[in-house]
Amino acid sequence: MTKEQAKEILSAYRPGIDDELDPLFANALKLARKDKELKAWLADSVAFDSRICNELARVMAPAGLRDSILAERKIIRPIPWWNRRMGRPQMAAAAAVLLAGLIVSLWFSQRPATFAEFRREIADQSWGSAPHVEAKAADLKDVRNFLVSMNVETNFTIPSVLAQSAVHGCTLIKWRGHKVPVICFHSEGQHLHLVVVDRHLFPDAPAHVPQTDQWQSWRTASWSKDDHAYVLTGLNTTSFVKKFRREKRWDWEG
Amino acid sequence: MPPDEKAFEEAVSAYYEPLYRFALGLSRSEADASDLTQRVFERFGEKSGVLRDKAKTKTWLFTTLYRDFLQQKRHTTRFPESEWDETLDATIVELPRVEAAADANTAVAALHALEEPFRSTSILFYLQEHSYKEIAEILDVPIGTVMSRLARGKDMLRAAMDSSHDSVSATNAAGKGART
Repeated sequence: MTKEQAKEILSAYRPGIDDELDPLFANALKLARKDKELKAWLADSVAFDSRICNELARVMAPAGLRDSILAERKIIRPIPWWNRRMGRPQMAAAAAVLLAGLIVSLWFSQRPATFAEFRREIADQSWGSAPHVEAKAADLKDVRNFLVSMNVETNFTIPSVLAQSAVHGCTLIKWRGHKVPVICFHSEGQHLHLVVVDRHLFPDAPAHVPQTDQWQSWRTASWSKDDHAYVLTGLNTTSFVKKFRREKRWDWEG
Repeated sequence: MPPDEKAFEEAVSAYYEPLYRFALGLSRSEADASDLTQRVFERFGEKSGVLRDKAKTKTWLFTTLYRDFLQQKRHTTRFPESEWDETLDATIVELPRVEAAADANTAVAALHALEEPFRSTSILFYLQEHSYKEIAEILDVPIGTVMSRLARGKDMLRAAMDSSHDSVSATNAAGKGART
């Protein structure tokens, strides 16, 4: 075995990970123990690798990625709060939270909300603690039936690319006294939530052209059509919307 | 929690970060890396057989992600960026990001700048999640090819980092010179 051959083999050797008795490495390592220059080269190579490994390990995934992956498998109808057992401390805590909530909602009700506030609050709420989908649905028809049963109007229009995507379910979020539907979609590996709201609630509702924003880990794309404003949230909503606009497939169902 | 759910959650917790790092190295885009990671777990969730065989889980996840990336790349080649409608794109308003851009440290930047197939091989090597035999299996190449790609990839990486270091040193020296 020449030194150059040994170097090529030892380039793939990671002490502590690769077995030094592995026939592939054993001979090259034996040579490195005897040859001073090769030994120094190996020490330098291992130190270089260690630096790269450490820096690569510092690359962090987006904060919401794990939750988003897990959330997809936790779509179940939640147990109503009145069916859950509560001890005194929990009841006291719940009362305190309720009181605080009342004070906050009273304060909030004194002024109109902006669409930017709505977008951020709803992105947080829709991706909140699992389970995040109240009713499982096979398609948009199921979603509309669920909303009708909850006395929520369903005359909204969804972009075709979303309407053709797999629907997981729907939930209703109470936002400042309004029932806001959130529809959970799955499209091409992306987990997306579409929020539908009455656009007349906001003086600054978005235009027809999707407007993108980022809130913490979540990307949002917002637009208005007819009487509704829409917020699409997910980790990569922007790329999702851009892709279909680029392919000129961002049109409307029906 | 049902056994499959537990196995799924354990696999996500254990591997979503190395998979994201691999995907980021392949795609060089945070959004695409998140997509690739999400998609591989979506497929993983559908494969109950893989869920039961823990020993195969990790290699299966990395192999599937890599194949998915290659498939996506082929698709992108069929729909090249030149087809992008600039006027349409201009109508999408990008608001400023809340968080700062990811820290681009020299070593990772140099690693991501490597050309394929040296990039994928080197990233799998530096992730320290797989043996060289598993790397060969994931990339579907002979072991000898992994060895030569690693050796060449490492040379390119060193050269890139040295040149980056030299340019930073030169900039610093120029800055000092300008101040004196």
